[in-house]
Amino acid sequence: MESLGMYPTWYVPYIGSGWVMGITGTIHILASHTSIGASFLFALLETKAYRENKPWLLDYIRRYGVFLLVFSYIWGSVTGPGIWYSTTVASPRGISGLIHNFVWVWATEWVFFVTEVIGVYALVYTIGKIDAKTHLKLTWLFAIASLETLLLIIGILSFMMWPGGERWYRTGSVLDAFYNLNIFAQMSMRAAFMCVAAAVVGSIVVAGVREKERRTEIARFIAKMGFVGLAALVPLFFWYVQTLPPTAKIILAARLPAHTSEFLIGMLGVTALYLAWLAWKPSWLPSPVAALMTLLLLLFGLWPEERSRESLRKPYVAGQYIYGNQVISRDVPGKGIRAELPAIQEHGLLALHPFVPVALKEITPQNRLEAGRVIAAIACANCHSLEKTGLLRPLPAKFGGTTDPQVVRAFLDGPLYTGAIPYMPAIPLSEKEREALAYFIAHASEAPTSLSAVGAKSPNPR
Amino acid sequence: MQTAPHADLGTFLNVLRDPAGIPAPPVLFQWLMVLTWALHILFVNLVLGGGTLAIAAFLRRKDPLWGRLSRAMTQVTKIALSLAIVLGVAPLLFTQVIYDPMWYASNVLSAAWVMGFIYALGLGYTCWFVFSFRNKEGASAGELLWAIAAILLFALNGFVMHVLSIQSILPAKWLEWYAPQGIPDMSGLKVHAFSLPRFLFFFAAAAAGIGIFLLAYADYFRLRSDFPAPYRELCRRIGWQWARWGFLGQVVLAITWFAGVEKAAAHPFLWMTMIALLSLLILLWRGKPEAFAGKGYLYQGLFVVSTLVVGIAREEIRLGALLPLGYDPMSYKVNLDLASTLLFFTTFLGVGGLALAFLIAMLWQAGKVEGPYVAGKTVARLSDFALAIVLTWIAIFFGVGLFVWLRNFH
Ligand code: HEM
Repeated sequence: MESLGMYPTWYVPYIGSGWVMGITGTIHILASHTSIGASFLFALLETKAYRENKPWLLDYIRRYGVFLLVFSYIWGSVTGPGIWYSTTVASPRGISGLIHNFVWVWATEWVFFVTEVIGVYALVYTIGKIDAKTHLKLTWLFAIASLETLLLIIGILSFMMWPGGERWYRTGSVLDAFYNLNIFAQMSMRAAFMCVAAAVVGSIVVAGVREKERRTEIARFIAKMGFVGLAALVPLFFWYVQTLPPTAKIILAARLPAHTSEFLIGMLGVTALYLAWLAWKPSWLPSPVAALMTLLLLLFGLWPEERSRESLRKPYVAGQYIYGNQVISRDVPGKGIRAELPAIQEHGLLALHPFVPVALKEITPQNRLEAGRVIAAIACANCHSLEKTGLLRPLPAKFGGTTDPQVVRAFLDGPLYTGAIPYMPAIPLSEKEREALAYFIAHASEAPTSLSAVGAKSPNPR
Repeated sequence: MQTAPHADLGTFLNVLRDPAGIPAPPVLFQWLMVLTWALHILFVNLVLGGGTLAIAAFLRRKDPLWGRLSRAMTQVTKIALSLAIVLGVAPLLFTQVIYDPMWYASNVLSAAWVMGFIYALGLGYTCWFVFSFRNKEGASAGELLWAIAAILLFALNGFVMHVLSIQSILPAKWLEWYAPQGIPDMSGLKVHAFSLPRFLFFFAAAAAGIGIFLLAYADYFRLRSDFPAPYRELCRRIGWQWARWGFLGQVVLAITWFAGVEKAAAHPFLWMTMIALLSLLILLWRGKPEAFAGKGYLYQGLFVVSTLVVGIAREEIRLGALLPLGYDPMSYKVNLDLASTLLFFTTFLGVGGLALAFLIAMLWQAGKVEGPYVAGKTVARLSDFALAIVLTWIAIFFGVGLFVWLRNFH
C-alpha cells in the first residue's frame, strides 16, 4: 500500500487558513491592479504631455509614481510572494500542482517583474533628468511590461477555475491549460477593473495638485479612464459568467457568501457617483475622501469579489482535479496523474497519509476523538472552521449544532461519501473514520466556545 | 512510512513529489535556482549591509560627509530591497519545482512564521521608506527608530528564510516536529531548527557586500564634480574596512558552518568557497584603501563570483543531505512541455536581454552625468528594440492564444 503525497496541515483557529490567504490576496489585487492601471495612465498622460507640451503633467506622474512605490511596490510586491507563501502553507498540493504545470509561465512572468521593478524606479527618478523622448519610451515600456505580467498570471488563475474542456486532461499541454475557456473573459474583466482602481487611487494624488485648472484637467482625464473601465465591467462580467463551470453557476445562483451581489452592485453605483464627482468638481475633493473611497473599494468591492471567486471554484483548488482538501480527484492521463479517491476508499485516509502518526493509523475507542480531529483538519478544514463560532463556514453550524453523532454520520455516509453535493468534494472515508469524524463534529458542537480545536492536546477519551 | 516512520525516507520523500512531473530536465531548474539565488542574496547583502551602514553613518551625521553617506546608503537599501524581493521570487519558484517535498513540508511546519515573514517584510519595508523620507539634512536622532525597527525586521526575515532552508534538509525529523508524542500540532507556531554559524555567515557577507559595493560606488562617481574627492575617499575607506572585516567574518563563519556539515571534505565547492573567501580576504588585507581606487568594478566582479560559489556550495550541502536518503532531484519525472519551455527562454533572452539592457544602460549612463541626460545613439536604439520586442511578444501571445482557444472551444 503506497501512501499519498500529502503534507502536514496548518490550521488557524476560527478564521481558517483560507482567510489568511484571502486577506493577503485582496491587498495584493488592489495594489497590483492599481499599479498596472496606473502604468497605462502614466503612458497616456505622458504622451499627452509630450504632444501638447504640458510638462507639468509629469509632475503629477512623479507624485503618483512615488505614491505607487509605497502603495503598490511595497505592499504589492510583498503580498505577491505573500499569496504564494500563504497558499503554500494552506494548500501545498494546490500550489504544487500549479507550479509543476506552469513553472515556465511563472518564470516568464518573473522576467517582466524584474523589468517592471527596475522600470518603476527608473521612471520615477529620471523624470526631468533624461530627455523627454527617452522617458516617454521608458514609460511605455514599463506599461507594456506591467500588462504582460497580467496576461501571464491570468492564464494560471483561470486554470485554477477550470480548463474548460477535456482536452488538457488528455494532452497535459501547458498551452491547453493556459488558454482555457475562462482566460480571455477574466483577463478583460481585470483590465477594466484596473482602470477603475488606477482612477480611484489616482484621485488621492490629484488632491495634491495645487493649481486649479491643472487639477481639473488631470481629474477629468483619470475620471474618464475610470468610467471606461466601469462601463466595460458590466458586460464583461456576463461574459465571464458564461465561461464558468456548471458547478460555479450553481454556487453563483445560490451559495455565495451573504450579501455579495448587494455589495458588488452597490460598489458599482458608489464608484460611478464618485467618478462623476471627480470629473465635475475635483477642487472639492479632499484626499481623505479619496483615501476613504479606496478603502471602500477594498472592503466592499474586492473582499466580497475575492471570497466569491474562491467559492466559485469549489470544491477544487486547481484545474478541477485537485480538491480543496488536497486530494486528487481524477485521472489526468496527459500527465500520468492518478485519482486518489479509490485508494482512500479502500484503505482510509489516515492509513495513507504520510504525516499521520503511527498511533493514529488505527482508530480505537481511546483515540477516536483525536483521530476525528485530525481527519477534520485534513479533510474539511481547508474550507471550514472547526469551532462552532468560527468564521469560515463553521462545521458544527453546518450540522445545525447537533450533538448527536448519528445525525452527522448520515451525511458522511451519504452525500459526502459519494460526492453528491456539487460544491463539496467526495470524501469516501472508511467506516471507522466516519465514526470518528462524526464523533468529533458532534463533540465540537457541544464543547463551549474554545475547542482550541486543533492545538495539540493529549488524547481525551470521554 | 506506515509502521516505522523513518524506515524508508527515500520512498516517503519521493511519494511527496508532485505527480504532474516537471516540464523540462531537472538540471535546468537546478541551475536556474542556484543562479537566481545568488542574485537574490547579492541584493540581500546590500539591504542588510547598506541598512546597517546607513544607521552607523547616521550616528556620525554631524560630519556632513557621513550624513551624506548615510543618506546614500538609505537609498541604496531601499532600492536593493525591491530587487532582493523580486529576485527572491525566482529561486522560490525553482526550488519548489525540484525540491517540492522539502520546501512544502518545511514551510507548513512553521506556517505561522512564514506568514509572519510576509507581514514583517511589508512592515520593515514601510519603516525603511519612512526613514528614507526623513533622513534629510538636520534629521533628529528619533528617526533612527524607524531604521532600527526595519533592520530588525529584515533580520527576522533572513532568519525565517534560513530556518526554512535548514528544516527542509532534515526530513528525518519532520514527523517528530509535526507530531511530538504522536499528537499533531497544526499551529505552525514553532521553528524547529537553525544553524547559528550559517545564519551569521550571511551578515558577514552583508558587511563584505556593502563594502565592495562602496569601492565600486567611489569609482563610478569619479567623473561627477558633485561627488567631491573627500566624499569618495570616505566611501572607499569605509568600504575597504567593511569588506575586510566582512570577509574575515565570512571565513571564520564558513569554517564553523562547514565543520557541522556531514562529510564536508567530500564537497568540492565547500573547498572552493574557502579558497575564494580566503583569497579575497588576503587581497583586501594587503595595501591601503587608496590602492583600491580604480579597482572597484574588478572587486565587484570577484564578489559576484564568490557569491555564486557560495550558492553552489549551499546546493552541494543540500544534495549531501538528501542523496544518501534516496532523494535525487535528477530523477524527477519529466513531462516535457516544449512550448512553455520555449516561452521562458525566448522571453528571458529576448525581453530580459533587450528591455533590461535598455533600462540598465540608460540608468548607468544617466547616473554618470551631472545635469540632464540625452540618450545617445546606442541607448536610443536599444529603447526602440525594447519596445519592439515587448509588442511583438504581445502579438505572439494573442496569436497563439486565439489559435489554441478557437481550436479547443469552437
Ligand atoms: C529582507 C528580506 C529577505 C532577507 C533578509 C532574505 C535573506 C535570505 C537568506 C539569508 C537566505 C539564505 C538562508 C540559508 O541558506 O540559510 C535566503 C534564501 C532564500 N530566500 Fe531570501 N531573504 C529575504 C526576502 C526574500 C523574499 C521576499 C523571497 C521570495 C520572494 C526570498 C526567497 C528566498 C529563497 C527562495 C531562498 C532559498 C531557499 C532554498 O534554497 O531552499 N527571500 N534569503
